Amino acid sequence: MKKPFLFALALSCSLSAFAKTGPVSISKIAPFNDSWTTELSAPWNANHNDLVAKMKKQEKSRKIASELDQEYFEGKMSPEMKKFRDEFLKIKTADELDAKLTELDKNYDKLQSEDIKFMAAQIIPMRALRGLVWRLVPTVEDTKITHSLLVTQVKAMAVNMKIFLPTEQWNAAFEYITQPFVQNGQFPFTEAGEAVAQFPRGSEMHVQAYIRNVVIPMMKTSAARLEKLDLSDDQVIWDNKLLYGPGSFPSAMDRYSLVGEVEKQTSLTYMYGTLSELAYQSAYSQEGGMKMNQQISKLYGWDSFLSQVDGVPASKRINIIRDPKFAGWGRMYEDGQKWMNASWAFLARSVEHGDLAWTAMKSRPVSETYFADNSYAVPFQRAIGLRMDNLKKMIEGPTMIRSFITDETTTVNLKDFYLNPVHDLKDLYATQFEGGAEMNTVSLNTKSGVKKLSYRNYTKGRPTGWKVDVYKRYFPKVNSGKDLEATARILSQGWGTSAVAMPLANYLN
Amino acid sequence: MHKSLVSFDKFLRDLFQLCLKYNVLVCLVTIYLFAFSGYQTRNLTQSVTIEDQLDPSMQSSKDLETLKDSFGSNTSLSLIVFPGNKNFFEHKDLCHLQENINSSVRNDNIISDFTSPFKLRYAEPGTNSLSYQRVLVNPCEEIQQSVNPLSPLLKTPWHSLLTDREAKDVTFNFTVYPKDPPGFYGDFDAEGIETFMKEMESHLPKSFYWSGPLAMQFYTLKGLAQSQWLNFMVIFVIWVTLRIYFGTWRGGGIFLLSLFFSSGVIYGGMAMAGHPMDMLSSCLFLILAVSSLEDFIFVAQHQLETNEGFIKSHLELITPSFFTSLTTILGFGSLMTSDLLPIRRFGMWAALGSTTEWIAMFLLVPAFMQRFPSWRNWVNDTKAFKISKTKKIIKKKPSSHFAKFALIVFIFSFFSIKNFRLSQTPSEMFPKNHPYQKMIDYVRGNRGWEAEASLFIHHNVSEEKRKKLLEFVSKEPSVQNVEDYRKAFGFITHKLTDPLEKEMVQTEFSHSKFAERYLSDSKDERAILYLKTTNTQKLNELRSAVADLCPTHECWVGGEIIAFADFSRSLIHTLFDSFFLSLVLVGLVISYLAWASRKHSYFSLIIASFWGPAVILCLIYAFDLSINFVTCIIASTLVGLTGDNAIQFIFAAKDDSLEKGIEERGPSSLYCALTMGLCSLVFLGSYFEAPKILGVLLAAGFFFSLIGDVWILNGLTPKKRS
Repeated sequence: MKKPFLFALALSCSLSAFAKTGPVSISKIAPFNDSWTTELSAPWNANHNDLVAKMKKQEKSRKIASELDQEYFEGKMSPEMKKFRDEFLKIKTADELDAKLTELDKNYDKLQSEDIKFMAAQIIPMRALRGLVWRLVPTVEDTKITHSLLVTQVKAMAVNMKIFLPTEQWNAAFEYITQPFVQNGQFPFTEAGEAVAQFPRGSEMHVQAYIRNVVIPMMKTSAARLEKLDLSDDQVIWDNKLLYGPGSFPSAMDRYSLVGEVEKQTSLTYMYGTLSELAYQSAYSQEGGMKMNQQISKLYGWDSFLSQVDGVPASKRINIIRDPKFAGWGRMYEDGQKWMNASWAFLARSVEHGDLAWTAMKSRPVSETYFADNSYAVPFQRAIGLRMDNLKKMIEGPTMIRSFITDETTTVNLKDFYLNPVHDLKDLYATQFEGGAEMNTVSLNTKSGVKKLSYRNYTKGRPTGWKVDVYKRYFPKVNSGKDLEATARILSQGWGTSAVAMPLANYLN
Repeated sequence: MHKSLVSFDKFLRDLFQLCLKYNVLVCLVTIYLFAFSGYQTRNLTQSVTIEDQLDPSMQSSKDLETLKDSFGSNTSLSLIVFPGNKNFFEHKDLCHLQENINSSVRNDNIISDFTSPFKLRYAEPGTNSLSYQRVLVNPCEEIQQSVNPLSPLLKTPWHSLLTDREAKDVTFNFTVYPKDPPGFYGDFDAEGIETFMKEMESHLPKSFYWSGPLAMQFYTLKGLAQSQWLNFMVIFVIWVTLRIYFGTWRGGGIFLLSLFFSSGVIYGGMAMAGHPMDMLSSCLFLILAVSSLEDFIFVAQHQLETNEGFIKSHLELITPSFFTSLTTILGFGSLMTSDLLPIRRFGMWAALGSTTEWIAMFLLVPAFMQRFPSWRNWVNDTKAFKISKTKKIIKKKPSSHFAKFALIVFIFSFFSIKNFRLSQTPSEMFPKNHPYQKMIDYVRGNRGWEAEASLFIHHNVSEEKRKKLLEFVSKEPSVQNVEDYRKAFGFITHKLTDPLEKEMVQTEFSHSKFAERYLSDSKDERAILYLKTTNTQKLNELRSAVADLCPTHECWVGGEIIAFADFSRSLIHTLFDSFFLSLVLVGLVISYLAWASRKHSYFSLIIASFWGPAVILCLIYAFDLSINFVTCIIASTLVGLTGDNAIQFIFAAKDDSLEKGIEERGPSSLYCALTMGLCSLVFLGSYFEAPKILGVLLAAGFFFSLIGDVWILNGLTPKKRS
């Protein structure tokens, strides 16, 4: 009796230990919210014509005086906004900041005025960043280079803050992001009274899970809140004192700005653009990414003084990326397609709001009183219009793009990149590289005779071939590595297509 | 006289005496008012565009405004250059032309953009490439093999538009910046455009025409400037004739001073009210001069004949002249019933002008004469034309049968009114040998069209409906050619087969400057219609036909010529409404005076007064003259002016017969008609066509009115018992 019991006990202990430390599926700890599928499948530009018509109607009636004084702006600001501003300017600690943000989030639906709602919708997602720097430490600690870079960046932020924004509010914001804290029970920190936990050591997946569960939903809520606002009368007041602290603008000159439809649409453009990127990043595994970067860094001579100095050609970097040790990195998660679909829908909305921001910007009079400066855009209407149209076309489907420098053309199927994506990002990297000697020799006819001198062969190791069958899905005219290079060049020289060219260049380099 | 008339006469005499009593105050107030009004005239602006002549409340005017906002169509100046004696341009000629134009545009700072056939391009596909090739090779760089370097244009949708049917000439379109800040001519930069045109002309061959809305405005402006000299001519004619009639230069001087006062007050008032000077109100000075001349001649003639001094002469004529001014005021005032804002304004200022001139003549001038005795010697019977000679002419009395027979004119005039020809164009205001008119004839001859209009299509209209609309207008009899986005795009992409390539070109083309001809910022579309005719009736039919297809105004035909046609349709109503109203009002006044003076020849007085205008209406029909902006006021003006003689005769007759009154005042009527006729004939020197017709018609009107007022009335009036 005693032996079987001991065996069972040992087995159950092992099993429970295994249960705690064994492989975890991200789709279990951070599943895709299926209700989003229906929501995001709605046409993103259904209200386009109505919104544009409304902007046109406002166009002629909107005139702005050049000399507006404090009384005008304070008179336009709602009592709610004034109250928030006065309270915000008294914040001195991260806890006070969190309390304010939490209160805004909890009571958002009870807010009455457009100005406070506009501001609240944009700053509430900051709650997701609380203590993030501290929480990331175990994730990055094992890879010295990444850890060092992160620490350096945060230290630089601290130095800049102390020089350029040395206010108590900014200090509180810095502490907000960098320090541990006690949870207050409000999503996402629901364990009231407990100290917030750090991310598990070396687990990129848990960070991705946090982005899926917390950051994306909060930003999505924020975007939905912004969509509902009507700022078409351009009469929302932004007080720069909120940015620069209680001691700023003592004579109230140049203190205020007007905010309207342009600013709202621009915020939505960036918000949806960020959501698209985050959703895209959530579709593919980053497992082993830190270690992989550590290996690549060694090639540059970092982390080791024994590295060979040969400029780190693509061939060597990509060999590391393809190392079986890092097989998990870049693979699509089992629910990755849903995230890519969502990324596509967010991108479409980002472009739509960009178009609306442009329409609003064109029709708004030029004035330094507005927050967003549209004076630079007015002379470039043709170029900006072409860019917007190409972006919209790329969202709709396959689009031909022309280089305005060389007249070369290519076709882009951006939609399929999201809706019919690669299942492993490694498939986008080069498979063939240029060979040849490490060093070249040149014979120089000098006055003292022929001299043979060596110089580096800079093209050795550069990528020359990729998986054409993979790229052909997205660039139908690509039949070879040269075609792909031409495509990247054309995209960098087309109207509005450099946004596609740059990410592509990462995989070509 | 009836006691109402007696009381009114007393009132006016008392007013007169009051002005004499306070002559210093009156003189000071007059001088101040004149100085103040004169100062205000510096804010007076001049309209030069057709758009400025239109009524802004009309739908067609609003449509024109929409076109201007969406497509900037009013700010262009076109240049048509043809090879003159040669068949075709040579490459070197085209090269020089292109270089000169580019250089002028670069050096000049009023041109914001220009299009030329040399800028036309089409999409040429290559292997994994697409370039935009020029339709015409650069004549300075490449020599084409064909005889005619412009021949490639024949394969484009712009043959017969940017070039003629045989590709012999070439058209350039220049877009001009509006003048900022606006000046006397609004945002029309007259000086800048003139400088640019002269600069261009110094490099051009002799064979060219200027065209487009700005060219028309430029020539209109020149005409208006020239019209100012006509006013000086009128002054000269008046001064000389008054010298002949009354024997002194001072008389003419006094009259002109009172005229300047009235004009100053009116133009100052226009400036303060923000009413611009337009083609109609530029005639105001002349019309004021003509209407105020009457009062002066009657008063001066009375003083010449009776030698009773200025006070008695003024008192004798103050009441009849008040009523003659009243009929004039009513004649012009009836124009205020017009639907058209420019005519309402003109009527108002002309009526106010008549009021002001009566005040000047009968209240202000006497005050000055009281204050400055030297003013009183304004007639000299030793040097004046002998009155006896004119009285002989006046005394000739036709038989009553003849007079009754002459009334047949009224039957013809009713027929004439019903059959007036209402067909006019803005370009008809220039004479046949005018460069702008010659340009129209040239374009009509070798392109088959003579004017442009626009078909506006709202961005919400479906593609299917757009196609139907374009098909419909291209089949309209008044439309020669249609230039639209689809044709332009079709040509640009005629070598492409790949749908993605076409889509790409569509994106790039829609953002080009050239596409702004067809697409607005809000993606509304515009097709340019080239019209075979400018017959206003046909254009109104075209507009109505399109309006029927788009009942919610989602598409419409518009443009200057269309707005003008719509405006013209209201002209005939203006003519009729104000004409008949004038008849009624003037008839009422004459009837009242005849009744109050116990002259019971109502029928004779009224019918004789209207005989002259009735003859004019018959002549308009007989000579197939068109009714246009200026001529439509003729009837009202004549009725207002010619009723005056009847009134003078009524008062002059006193208790005697009308025949006596005619004898007394007839010479003055003759002098008036003569001087007014000569002044009207000064219009023959007008730059524009319509004022010339106005001048002839007015002169004829005064002549026939004199016949009617004096001899027909004499013929219809029973003989006085001896």
